[in-house]
Amino acid sequence: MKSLFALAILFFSVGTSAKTYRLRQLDDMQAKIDALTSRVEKLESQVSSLKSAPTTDPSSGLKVIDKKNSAMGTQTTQQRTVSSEQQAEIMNQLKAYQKKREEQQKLLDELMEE
Amino acid sequence: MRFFFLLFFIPQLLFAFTKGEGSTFVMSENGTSTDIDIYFASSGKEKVSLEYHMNTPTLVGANVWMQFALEVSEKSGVVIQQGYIQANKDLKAERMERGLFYQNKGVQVQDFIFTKESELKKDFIGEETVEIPAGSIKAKHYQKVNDGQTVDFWISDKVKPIGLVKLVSKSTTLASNNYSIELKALLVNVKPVIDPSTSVPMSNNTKSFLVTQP
Repeated sequence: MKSLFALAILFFSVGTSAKTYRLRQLDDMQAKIDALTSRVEKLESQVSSLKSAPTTDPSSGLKVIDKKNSAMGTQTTQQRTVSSEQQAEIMNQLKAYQKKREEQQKLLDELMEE
Repeated sequence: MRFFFLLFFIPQLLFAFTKGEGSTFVMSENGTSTDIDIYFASSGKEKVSLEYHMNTPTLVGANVWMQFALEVSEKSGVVIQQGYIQANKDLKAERMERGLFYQNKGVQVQDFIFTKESELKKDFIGEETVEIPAGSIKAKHYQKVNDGQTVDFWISDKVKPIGLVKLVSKSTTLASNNYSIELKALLVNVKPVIDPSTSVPMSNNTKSFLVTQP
């Protein structure tokens, strides 16, 4: 009887410990997702400020804005300029974000089943 | 909308120009700042068009565009042929009447339209290094005085095609003639907003807004 009781406690402890571990995993994942979300938002803000970011005129050293055949004061017609490196970085961040979200959802499903 | 008249002195065709090129300035007046963009909307041998854009809350809209068709010739210099104003990108431009071009008191619009460098020599003060939002540049300092208004302005041929680096206007007779303009950046590849071919006559509402009150 004693051993049966000990066994029950053991199963209960193992189950609780596994659940706690998964919850901790879930928290870690959420923290990573939050960090990625913040990174994506930062990149998006950098992209929007790049649409007419000034460069420097080599002959005068003064700032130059290339409007790339867009009109002044018509934000909706302005083209956003993003370098290929920036595009790749944004895509990588988004993919990582998506992957973490999927993993988080899977963990949540498993926890719900338990 | 007094600033329209104050800004119109800028075109000086001392330099070669290309469609879409210009400058963006910051105009400071009574502690407030307004961004002003000036660029060539079209270019030709004897006819050019300059377009202005201002992003400031006004009675006609937050964004205002104005375009001026100028005729350039050896004989008569620079003559303003037509003016247009548009306060919303989705509306048609309105044609200005000639009388609206020359309303500013003190130093006049035509005082700043130069076709020959010799016309500027009498107002030359000296060469100075000027610190502006666009950077630092060596420029020629000139001064014009008329009817209680003193205008100091700095020009550099490296600031093509507009040429203006900085301008400070002071007036003892008219408070609205106290302002300064500084170059923020050079502009390239700007698409004009105003299409003169679709313009309509100016409405009385816009006219009343443009006419300077005594």
